[in-house]
Amino acid sequence: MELHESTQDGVTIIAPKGNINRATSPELQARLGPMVEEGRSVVVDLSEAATVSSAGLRVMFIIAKAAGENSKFVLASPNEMVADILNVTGFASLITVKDDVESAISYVNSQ
Amino acid sequence: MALLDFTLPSSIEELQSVADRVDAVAEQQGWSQKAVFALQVTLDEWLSNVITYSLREDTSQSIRVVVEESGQEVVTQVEDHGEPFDPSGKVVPETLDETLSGRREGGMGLFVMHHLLSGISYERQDNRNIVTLRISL
Repeated sequence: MELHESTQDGVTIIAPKGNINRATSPELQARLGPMVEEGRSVVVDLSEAATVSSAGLRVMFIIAKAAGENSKFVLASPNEMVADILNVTGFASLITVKDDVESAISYVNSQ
Repeated sequence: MALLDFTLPSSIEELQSVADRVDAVAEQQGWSQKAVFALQVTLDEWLSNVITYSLREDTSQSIRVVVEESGQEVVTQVEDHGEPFDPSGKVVPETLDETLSGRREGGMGLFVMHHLLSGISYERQDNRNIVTLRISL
């Protein structure tokens, strides 16, 4: 997994590329944790994330919970298989998921 | 002949090299993204489970992984010498509350595996757990 970072309209976009699995998810957690603690709004662009296993889901949930009321944390652009996993596990009802990065940014900035 | 046949030490850090090997063989075989997704995720779930629970991260222990293509399926066999554990039974979907409170650690991984696999079987032979994961191509 590689992590690419960019900023658009005041929102930090983190784009993991490759497999978000038991071995790589701690790196994602270490990167996202301080951002949401600082109160930054973060969109995780999943368009290049080939896979997300339950270890990855767990990290997303921990971060979403840490973000709480102070910052916004939104997932965007999951591939068909990742979207399916988010749905069957029920995570899609706990974390905001948008179809693309643009709508995720609009959502964050409208809150 | 197996497409992949290797052993890895019982360590979470090794899982990235497993993912890289799977990506390489998937590209070589031209498997669909859906099949590759199922193989990557189910192997990650099962190997994490074996390393953490059956082998308790004892890095002196090793796990054997064999991946083959058979007919319209990818068939993966995982063998370890850890505590007996049969993942093939029906999995009761845990509630998110149970998962997130950590009361049923590993339960979500098993649920995800059953969701993605076309078949899963278990044998206990000579003090080894042998789990076979089947994915439709």
